[in-house]
Amino acid sequence: MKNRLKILRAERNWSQADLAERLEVSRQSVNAIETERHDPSLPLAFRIAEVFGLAIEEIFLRD
Amino acid sequence: MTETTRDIAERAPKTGPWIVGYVVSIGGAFTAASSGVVSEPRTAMLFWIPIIACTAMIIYTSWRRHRMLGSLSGAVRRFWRRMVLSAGFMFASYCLLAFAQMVGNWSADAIAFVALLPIAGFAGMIWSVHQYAVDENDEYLRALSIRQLLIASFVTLMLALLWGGLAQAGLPVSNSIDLVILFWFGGLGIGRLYNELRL
Repeated sequence: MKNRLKILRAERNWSQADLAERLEVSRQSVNAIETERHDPSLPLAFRIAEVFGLAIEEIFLRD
Repeated sequence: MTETTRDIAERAPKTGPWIVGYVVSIGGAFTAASSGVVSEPRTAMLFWIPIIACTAMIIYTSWRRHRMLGSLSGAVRRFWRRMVLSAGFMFASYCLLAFAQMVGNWSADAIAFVALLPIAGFAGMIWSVHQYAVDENDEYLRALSIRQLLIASFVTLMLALLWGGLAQAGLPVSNSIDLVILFWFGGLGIGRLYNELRL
């Protein structure tokens, strides 16, 4: 699954560590999601959407 | 430019090679003891030097890596607390066993009881590894630990099958079944290294 996490993070000038802290996950998780090596669970996807103030489909895109 | 997690992971010390070193050290000690090359308890205790050195490096590199990657969660802390206690118990049991053999006036029953104590240490270490996979709240880190456990299972089963095959073919292989635990820990080391290299 593709995502716009890196772009959205860069727009807000957040580091991976900043985003990880907001999501209460490890930096490794953020990196794995950004590089599309890990698809987040539905609860985590909702948390990501909440942190960015966007709908899930505005962040995650189908292949 | 902000340093990415991948940059940090490349810079962070790796734990996998030390786990493999730990397994090789224990394997060397088992082989030396079972083959009769080393029978004197004082000499046998020299084998603890690489084992202790590798254990210290596993703890240090893992702690440092978790600190650098910001993944030093409560589950990781609990895991290491249990692991250090279990490994410490195992080490103390082996020291007690070596002492009992050196003194020489312990009854056979007492020595047999002390010889069984390290099993509790090993059981604690195995339980700690599995319990971490249950405790970890971070879904990605949990997925990594599951993959590490699957690799360890694969390595253990394949080596056990190979071992059985060699024995059936009449080749001289050790009949010490407790070597399976070394295969499993070695598999964990390979799994850990695989996870670290893929980050």
